[in-house]
Amino acid sequence: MKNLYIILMSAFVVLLSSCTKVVDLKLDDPESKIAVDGLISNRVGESFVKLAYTKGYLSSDAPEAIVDAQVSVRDSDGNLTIFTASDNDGLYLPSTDFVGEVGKTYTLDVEYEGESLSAESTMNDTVTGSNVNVIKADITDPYFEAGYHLLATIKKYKEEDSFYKGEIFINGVKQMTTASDIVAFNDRMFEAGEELEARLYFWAETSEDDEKPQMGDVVTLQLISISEETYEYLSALSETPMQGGLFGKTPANVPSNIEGGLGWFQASSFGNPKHSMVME
Amino acid sequence: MKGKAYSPTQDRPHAINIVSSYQIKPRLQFGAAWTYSSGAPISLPTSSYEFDGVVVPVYDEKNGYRLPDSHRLDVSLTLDGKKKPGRKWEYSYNFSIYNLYARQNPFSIQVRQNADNPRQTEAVQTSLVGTMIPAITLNIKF
Repeated sequence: MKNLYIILMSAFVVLLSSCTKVVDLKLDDPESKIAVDGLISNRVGESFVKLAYTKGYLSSDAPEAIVDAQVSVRDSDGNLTIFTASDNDGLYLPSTDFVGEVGKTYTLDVEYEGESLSAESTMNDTVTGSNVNVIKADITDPYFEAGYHLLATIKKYKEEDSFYKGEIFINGVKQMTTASDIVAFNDRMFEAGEELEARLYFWAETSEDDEKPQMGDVVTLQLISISEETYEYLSALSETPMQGGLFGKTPANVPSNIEGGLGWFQASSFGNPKHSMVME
Repeated sequence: MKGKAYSPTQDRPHAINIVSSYQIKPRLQFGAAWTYSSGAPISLPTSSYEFDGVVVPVYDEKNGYRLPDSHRLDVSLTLDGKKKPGRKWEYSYNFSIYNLYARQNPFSIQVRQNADNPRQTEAVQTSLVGTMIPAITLNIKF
């Protein structure tokens, strides 16, 4: 009877494990469009505009960079900054020691081969977490899954809601690689003066050693104050891996604030990064 | 998308069902059923761009693609029990195999970034039943 049970359970496991496979698909070759990834930062040397053509979704080719466009950014006071191509990789950098300022609205203009693209974004107040901790939970923990959790305490200091993006680094190496890793949240549910305690990132105990923090590593949280529109964009982007499939959402395009093209342009302010050393 | 008409997910333009049975011996019966249906419409991204290192999918059309066709063959062998005079109940054994040629019929296709090389994208097909399933049944009629 025991053998029969083992055979039945093995068959069940085989049945479940043989259900997914990577397949070759032939997708249409669509017309290329210009895609923008643009950031205006409140820190020197961090603002950029990146231009490239869209590429076939399953193509293994690198995106084709756009290297000879005219790119400029105008702030709400009328100051114009020209962004010039730094290399042949489609990256455009300000020609001066340009820094974005909180409260200003920035308008991006791109001219390329007769096409005009534009976008607008306002830089919100800088935000900073007051406390950052990495805790390790084992399998007996009643509240957390087994693994490492990055916890942060953030104070809502004004009536208006703030929108946050978190970038996480282990010993200076950025952790985000896929859409699922995007950390974007808001304080809509809190009153001014309240503190929100957020679990921002999780590394599973079962992850490979080089994919999770180790004892003595320094984990850094960089909080970025983003606009509500940028928050909606990042939220939609972070949900794209859940689209389609067995229990997934209906696939849909993420929004874009680029008139005449695709992508996203944001003016975002970076607070002081907070560090935490991983301990037992 | 863009006000265009699109095929609903339930749209299966072609469906074939063939059912047959054969009496091999007075107490032994063979049955087979083959079913076929064309694939359901799905939405797949045709292009992508990168934002902060993340691949952003771009859809041009809703339900613009179809899953591969689905088909499978189920077979069964039914052995009736010996009838005895005066007995008020009958029984039979049924030996069957669902999805005889173990076809992995697609239920859905999802796209994702490759875990080891996030700049590379791939399509993943999910099958609810990816293999053959044998079964033994005892039927008692009273």
